[in-house]
Amino acid sequence: MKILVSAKRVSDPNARLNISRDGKWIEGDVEYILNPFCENAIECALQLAEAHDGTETVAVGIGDDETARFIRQGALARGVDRGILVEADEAVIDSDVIARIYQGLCERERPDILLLGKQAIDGDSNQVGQLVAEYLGWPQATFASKVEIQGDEVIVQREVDGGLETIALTMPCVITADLRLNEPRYASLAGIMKAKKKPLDELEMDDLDLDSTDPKVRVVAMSTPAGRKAGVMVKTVDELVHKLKTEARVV
Amino acid sequence: MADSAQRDQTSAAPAGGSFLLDPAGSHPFFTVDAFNEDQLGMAAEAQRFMEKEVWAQERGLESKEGKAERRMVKVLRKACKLGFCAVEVPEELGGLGADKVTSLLMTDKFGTNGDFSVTYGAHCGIGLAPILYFGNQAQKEKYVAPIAEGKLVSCYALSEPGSGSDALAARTVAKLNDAGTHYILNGTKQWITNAAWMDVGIVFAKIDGDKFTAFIVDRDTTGFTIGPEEHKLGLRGSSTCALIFNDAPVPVENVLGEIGKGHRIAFNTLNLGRYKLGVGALALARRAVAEAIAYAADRKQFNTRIIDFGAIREMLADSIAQIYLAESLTYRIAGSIDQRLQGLDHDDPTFIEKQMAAIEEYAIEASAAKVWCSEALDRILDRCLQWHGGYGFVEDYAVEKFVRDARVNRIFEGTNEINRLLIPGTLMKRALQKRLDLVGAVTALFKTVAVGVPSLPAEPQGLDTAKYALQRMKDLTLLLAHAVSSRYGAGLDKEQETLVALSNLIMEVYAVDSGIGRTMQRMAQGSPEDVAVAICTLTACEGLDRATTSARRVVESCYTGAQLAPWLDKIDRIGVHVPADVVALRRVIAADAVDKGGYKLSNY
Repeated sequence: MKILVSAKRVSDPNARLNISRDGKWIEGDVEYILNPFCENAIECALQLAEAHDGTETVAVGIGDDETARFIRQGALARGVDRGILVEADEAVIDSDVIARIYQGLCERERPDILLLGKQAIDGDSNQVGQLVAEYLGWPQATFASKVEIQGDEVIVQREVDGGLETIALTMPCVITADLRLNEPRYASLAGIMKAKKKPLDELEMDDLDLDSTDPKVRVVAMSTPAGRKAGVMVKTVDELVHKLKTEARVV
Repeated sequence: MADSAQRDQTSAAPAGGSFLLDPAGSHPFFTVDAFNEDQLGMAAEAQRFMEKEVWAQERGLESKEGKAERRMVKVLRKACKLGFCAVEVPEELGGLGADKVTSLLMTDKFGTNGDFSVTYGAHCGIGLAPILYFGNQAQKEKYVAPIAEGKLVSCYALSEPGSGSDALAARTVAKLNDAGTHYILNGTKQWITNAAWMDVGIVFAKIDGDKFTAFIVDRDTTGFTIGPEEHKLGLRGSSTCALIFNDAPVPVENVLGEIGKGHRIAFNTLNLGRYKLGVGALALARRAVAEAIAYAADRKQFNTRIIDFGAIREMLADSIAQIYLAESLTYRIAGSIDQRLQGLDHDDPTFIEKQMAAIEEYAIEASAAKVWCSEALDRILDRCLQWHGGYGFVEDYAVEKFVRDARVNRIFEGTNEINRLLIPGTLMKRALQKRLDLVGAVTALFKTVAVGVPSLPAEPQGLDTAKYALQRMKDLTLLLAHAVSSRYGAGLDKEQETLVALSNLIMEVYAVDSGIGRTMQRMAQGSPEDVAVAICTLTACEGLDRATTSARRVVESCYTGAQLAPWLDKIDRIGVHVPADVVALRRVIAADAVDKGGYKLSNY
């Protein structure tokens, strides 16, 4: 079996972001982390590989040279067998281009499962898994909270509004990982040392023979959240109730 | 190619103590700005481990329930499983075989929580290093892997109720039994970290009451018991108890190293531990400052964020400056030891000797790191607590815990007083052994003073002011060393007050020299380094002020009348006032930290 798994870097949610001068992107000098949902996807891939002998795991990152560090540290150091870096300018590509890159990679690598984080925590688009399943014509299970292989099928438990849904998919298929899928492991120090010896192929988009590499969505503007408005002091409870009714309209 | 380049570096590793004689930047050294990708990866994983496994439950680890459930041991075992306790273990014994810098980096990352830090350090630092360095093959095979993997928890037992700093005055005794199979141990070891949960320990005792010797002692030894848990000011999540030996038989094969040579094990282990303690202090300081900045950026008084007040920023600037110097001076030691070890053949039977010699070479720097960083930490924490106001005094904020945990750093691993005395003592010894040409340096200095100390360039650029002030600090330190040794000769070791004052100057020189050397290396990469330059200028100028005053007071205590005047005259010539706008310098340093939301001069 072969599992292709995403290792996307995202801007650190704890770091302060500065919007670039043209107002359309963030300034380059930010701290990055591995997308937490990708960590869940990687952990899932490793657990499946441990449970099924002979499984090959391949981590994919899309971005500039720096992205390679996240493939190595986030995936290879934890035990993923090899990596692929597809070079692309993250400021330009949209979810659709990313989905087409994954489509190209799947046609090239022919995995049994494409495992992705359900979304990246910086863009929050939540589109890639769904799009790539459509382009490949593969079944998909999004927001997975449990993944098991039984015979020729993958059994996926999904988190849906108000409960859980369990579905069975034929392979090849696309699965997107949710937070409660598992507890991502730490990389061991030995794993970190081994990671740099594992193969990491670098590809360009041209190598993948994609139907289209034109983004369909462009960022028009980015802005920081508006500051909180100053509060008002009220003198009496009656005045408070009045304001809550007429101004805040919450009671 | 890489190998030969490394060997060239080996020969370039400067002599310990040479920072005092050579101008700043004479020898490039390792800095935290030069970690490789593996090291950064390990640091990131160790950081994640600390945040999730330790920070997330640090009050719980301290609590009665936490101690009863031995949560700390679970964390330690988890760390072992990931290989964090096998960093310095050679590959042939199943470890990572990493260098001193990498090992120090792990100590740094684990230093952000005092409880875990000492547990980790006692287990796989001082509790393992003696076996690694001095154990025989059988001992290594029996103990190293189980300790590194966390199957056995280790500890190090040197102190006794009656012997702390004077470790060799230990009263625990060992006597060979009639059958010649076991040494019978009697006595008590005190303040033993990891005692409650130890499975094995390095225990020092005197065979026949006079031959100081190290033993490996197993938990299940008959006649060996653990005393009750101490109630401590800080580090409450760690275990500290006495080890009590009452006719406890230890097999002869558990004698560690040579009989009667236990002091070598004890002191070399301490040498290693000292600069590591410096880094542990640095790590806690960095975390405290990050949390204090976050607090001060959120807290408003008089409708202004308190981080925007000059009185707060001044405290912040001093803290940032000290962290930068602490990073520079600690990793410099590990890097220099690594340089000396790089050319060595691990299969050489004298390898361990050579390794010990490389570590001993930097004994002055290691003591300086221990003292300087532990005292910088307490000053930094005091400021951080202060700008929390009343909130700093309650348990809702972490700074209260940091203050409690930090205090013991000035006590253990050799008190700061003992370490202060070691610094000039070692320096003088090296001068006598002609390992350091102090005499030549003093002769050259006298010539310089006679013709006139050079003056500061009219329009100083970059590091000019800092380098100039540092050189004057070095000159003053040499002059003072000469003044006091001329006055007291061999009796100098009885003049502790004088030695302490001289030691303070030496440490300050080492710290500022390390900061300037590191900044020169950063600037060589082409960046202007405004903040680092401001730190160097500030610390060098204020360091020189203190050095001048202190030097005067010391010679006034050594000499009188006509003998005193020439010394004071020389001090006045060397200790010139170097002008600097320290308000502006502190503002530059603080503004950078506030803008970037924390200490960002290093990024690991």
